[in-house]
Amino acid sequence: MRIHRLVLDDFRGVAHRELVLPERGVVVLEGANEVGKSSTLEALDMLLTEKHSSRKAAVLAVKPVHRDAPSAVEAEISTGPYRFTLRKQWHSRPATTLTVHAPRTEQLTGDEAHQRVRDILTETLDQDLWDALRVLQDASPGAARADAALSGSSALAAALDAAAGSAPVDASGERAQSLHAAAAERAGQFWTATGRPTGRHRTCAEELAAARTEAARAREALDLLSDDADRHAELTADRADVQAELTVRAEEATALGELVADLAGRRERLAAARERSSAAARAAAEAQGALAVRRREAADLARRTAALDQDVARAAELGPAAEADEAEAVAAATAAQEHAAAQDAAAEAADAAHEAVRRATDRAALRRVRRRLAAVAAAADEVRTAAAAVAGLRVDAATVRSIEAADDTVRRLRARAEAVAARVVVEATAVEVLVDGRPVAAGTVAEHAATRPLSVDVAGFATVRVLPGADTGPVADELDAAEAGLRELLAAAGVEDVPAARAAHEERRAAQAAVDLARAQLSQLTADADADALRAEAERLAADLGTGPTTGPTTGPTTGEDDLPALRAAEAAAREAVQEKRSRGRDVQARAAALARTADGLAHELTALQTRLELSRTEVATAAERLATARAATGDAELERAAAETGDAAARTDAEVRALETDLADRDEATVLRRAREVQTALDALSGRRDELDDALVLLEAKLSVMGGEARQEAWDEAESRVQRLAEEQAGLERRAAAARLLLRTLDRHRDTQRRRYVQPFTDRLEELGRTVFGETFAITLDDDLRIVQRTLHSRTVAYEHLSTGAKEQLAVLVRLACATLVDPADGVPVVLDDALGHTDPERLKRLAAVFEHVAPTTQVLLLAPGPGLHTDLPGAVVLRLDDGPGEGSGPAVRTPAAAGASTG
Amino acid sequence: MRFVHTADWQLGMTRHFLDADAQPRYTQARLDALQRIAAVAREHEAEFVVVCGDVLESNAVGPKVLARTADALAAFAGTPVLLLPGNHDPLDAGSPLRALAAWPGLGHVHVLDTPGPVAVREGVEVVAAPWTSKHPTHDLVAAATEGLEADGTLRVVVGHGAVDELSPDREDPARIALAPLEDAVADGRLHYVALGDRHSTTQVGRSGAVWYSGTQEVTDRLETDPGNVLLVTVSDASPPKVEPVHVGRWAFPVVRAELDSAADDDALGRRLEALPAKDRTVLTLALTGTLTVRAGAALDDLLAAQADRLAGLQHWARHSDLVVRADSDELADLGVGGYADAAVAELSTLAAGDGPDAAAARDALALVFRLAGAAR
Repeated sequence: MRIHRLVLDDFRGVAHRELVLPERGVVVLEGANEVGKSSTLEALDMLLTEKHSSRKAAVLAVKPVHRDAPSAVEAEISTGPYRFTLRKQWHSRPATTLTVHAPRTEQLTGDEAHQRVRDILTETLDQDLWDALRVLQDASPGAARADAALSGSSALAAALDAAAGSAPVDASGERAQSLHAAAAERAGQFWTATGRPTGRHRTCAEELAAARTEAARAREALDLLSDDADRHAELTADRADVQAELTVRAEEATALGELVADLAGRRERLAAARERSSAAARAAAEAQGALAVRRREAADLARRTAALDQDVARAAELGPAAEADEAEAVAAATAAQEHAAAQDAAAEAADAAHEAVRRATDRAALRRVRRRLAAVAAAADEVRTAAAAVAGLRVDAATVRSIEAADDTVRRLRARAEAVAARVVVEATAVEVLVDGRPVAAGTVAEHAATRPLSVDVAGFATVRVLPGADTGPVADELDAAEAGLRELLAAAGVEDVPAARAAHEERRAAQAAVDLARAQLSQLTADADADALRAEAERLAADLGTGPTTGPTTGPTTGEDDLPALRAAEAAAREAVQEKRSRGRDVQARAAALARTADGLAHELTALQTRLELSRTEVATAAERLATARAATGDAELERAAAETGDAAARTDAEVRALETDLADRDEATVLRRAREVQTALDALSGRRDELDDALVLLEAKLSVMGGEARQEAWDEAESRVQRLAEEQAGLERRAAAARLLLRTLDRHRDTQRRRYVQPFTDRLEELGRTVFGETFAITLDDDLRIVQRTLHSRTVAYEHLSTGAKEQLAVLVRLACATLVDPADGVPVVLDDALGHTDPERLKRLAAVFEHVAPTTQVLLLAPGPGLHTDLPGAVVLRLDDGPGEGSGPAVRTPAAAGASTG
Repeated sequence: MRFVHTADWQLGMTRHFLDADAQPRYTQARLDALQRIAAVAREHEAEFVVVCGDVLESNAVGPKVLARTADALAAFAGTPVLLLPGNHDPLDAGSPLRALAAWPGLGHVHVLDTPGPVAVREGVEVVAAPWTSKHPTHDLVAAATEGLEADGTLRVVVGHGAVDELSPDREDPARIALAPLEDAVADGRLHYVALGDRHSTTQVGRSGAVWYSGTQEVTDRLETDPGNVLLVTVSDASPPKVEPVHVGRWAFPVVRAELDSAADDDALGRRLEALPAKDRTVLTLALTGTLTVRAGAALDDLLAAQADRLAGLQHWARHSDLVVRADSDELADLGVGGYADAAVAELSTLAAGDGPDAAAARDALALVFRLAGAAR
């Protein structure tokens, strides 16, 4: 497709614009933003796709804002063999006019014109390619993949086929595609996208399964009917068998019935005979009984009479014997009484002897107690006496020790006083001299210590006074005090001097010892009983003996000593006598009792005998009378005869019964009866079985009648027919489904193989163009759908998603240019780049320009740019400047880059 | 003495290969044949008609079948019709035959329910061997004919089942012994043995007196000469005279053809086109040969067109061996182009082989032809 001319009137902000485009090469539509560059492309799309009558929002939106004027677009386009001019006006006075210039002239208007253009485009334009080779401003490279939709293009596919050298450059690729599409549609009739049966393929299988179930059910119903018919036949046969058996059994039962009746007659006769027999037996028994009674009564009377006689004799014997026994018993009782009295006397004597012994013993004890009491009193006196002596002696151990201490002090002081005092030695030569009044005999010498003033009188001659020295005085005073103290102590103790004190003390110690001894004696005497207890014992004994007072000095025995051993011997002798008497007494009494019992027994027997005698006599009399009366009525001989006659009759009837019994036994009645019962039971069972069979048959017939009316055969036939039909249909469907799937899969696989072959030429071209921009290290990897997987630069490989926006937009442009150069010029469409390189730096732009140059000779490239940029480096590019100014609309502004440079410069 | 011998009416029969449209017509045809039998009987003044078993398809046929059978039997009014219970409709408790005989207006219809001779008129006896269960345990005909003397009575045996000469099943206790029957015929004890069970009109033995009449209307492609009744004339002196009269209207033909070219397709097309009464024809094809994909597709179209006109169209798998091969020229002519050519080539290889997908591949190729044709 080529666009030769494009005219816009009142389209969005554009009042009028006319663009005349060269057939190939780069055309730059240059203009500031908002000037309506994109509107130009929008206008072209709208012209080709929207009817003039369209009220779509997109169509309404292009109406100019400030003027009430219809929008109109006109274009002259060549595509395939066609070249036409199309004009459409929207909003008011909508209209479409089409003038086809080639291959032959046509003139159309209205919807017809629109439809014609659609047909032409469908026939000649690769819509996928047209869509693919545009990079629009609003579809930023970041949002849509640079390489989107390329693989769908049949023109590209054909070009790639050509490049791959694998197929002739004709419409074959397209035909393959359309076959693929048809195959896919065909497979879609049978299979879902996920490979499950669908449509009739699925429902037929389901219906077949359902029909099979239904057929099985119908078959079952049919078989049931047939089974029931068979069962009916079986039961009918069974019933016939049962009936036959019944007949046989019934005959047997009749024969047995007769036998049983005969037996019953015989049994009745037997019963009658037994009746007679038992009556005869009873009569015989009665006669026999009467005879036996008579005999017994006679015998009884005889026995009683004999017993009576015996008793009379015995009574006569017993009378004297009883009297003798009585006398003997009385004598023995008397002897027993006498012996008992003697026994009592002996016992009394024994008791007296025992008392004598006791009293003698008590007396001896009383004497011992009294003696001991006397000893206790003496010991107590001794204690009292000794204690009194001790109380009279005052010098005790402490007194002696204080006296001896005072005496020691005096001696010590005296020695000291004498040592310091002047020694006065008086030698009485001729006359007596008095020293302190004490004479010193002549011819003797007296020596004194002058501790005190001392006077020495020489019988009138002189008195010499010796005065103690000054240092003698205190000692002498101390001595005097000590001596006075000693004297006081002595005086208090009542002794003369120290030795006397010692003697007094010794005396007191001896007296104390005597006290202690006496107390010890007393204590020993009263160790097991004190005096009071002893006195109480003495009083008790005395009271028992009936003697005088227990106190008092009765220490000696008041009577002569008793001879205890003698007394004890007397007691023992007395007890022995008592023992002997008792023993003897028992024998005597036993004998007396025995004699008494014997006498009593005899007396009783005699009495009883006499009583019985009386009774017996009466009875014997009565019995004799009764027997006589009976004999008078029926004589003994008469009774004997009756018994014999009835006995004979009983024997006869009994024989008759036995004969009948034997006859019955011989006929084996039990077996006959059992057999009859068995036959009857069998008959009952058979008859029950027949009734059951009849019931079952009636039921079955009713069932068969009902089932027969249900057309089960047809139901099954119908179901089976349906199964067959569906099975056939299903087989056909499966066959077709398998074929469709196989075809589609095979086509898919080959298409994929083919596509992989496309990839290489496309990659080659892309890399060739890319090296111009990115340098010699540029390499690219594409997938089967011709989508960029990754880019390599300087040996660094980057996944497409991670490329920069600039790189992506450059690749987007390159992909389209590569594509455009691959496509046959006849199939080609304009490459449209709307402001597509906003993120590309000037250096890259310059390199891209070289690529455009490479593309320009074969392809129409529309480049929309906001200002001079890329295209300034594009030699030969046609620049159309778009201005919203009043100048626009006067005609196309066609310039060379140089001219553009001049105009902007 | 003349009578009509027929059998195996099997009224109420369903053929599963008939579609919902053809089945009622076929059912009707089997009933309609009774009218023609009645006409034959009248026309030839037959004294009676014997139906040798399988009057009904089953004892379980519904009231509708019975009612329509009764209506059809009414056409025989004036001619006694003797119905023999056969293996399909044995005289068990579920048998509707008695009910049929008791139908109002069918006084001329009788059920042969008792084994042994029954007098039709003075000097003429029908010796019946009815089935009373589906599994007889002895030769019913032998039992029914036992003890008969050659006393000048004309006797027609009416039986059902396979005779020992024809039945391969030696263990079957109910097989009909043929030799004693032929002996009886030779001795003049019996004069004709009318049998049912085989659907093809068949004479058995050497006496000329033992026949299967066959079914009145074809039931299977394997039957030879079905659709007849036998007009039998018996006399004491001579062997019976047996004349088949065709009463059937349907045909179950088998068409065998070897197809190796489009020309063969065309020839087959002409043969099928020439078939008369297509709506009463169930065609069985036994096709062999080798066809190109194109010719195969053409055959498919041809058969699809005929299938719509025929009462039924079947392929006899056991006798069919038709191979469709794709040859390279043909594929080149097809010119699907691009990768599709390679795909078609692969399918051709697959189709030519005998792998599990060979059949599917052949079908896929045919599909390519159809789709590509549609695409162009």
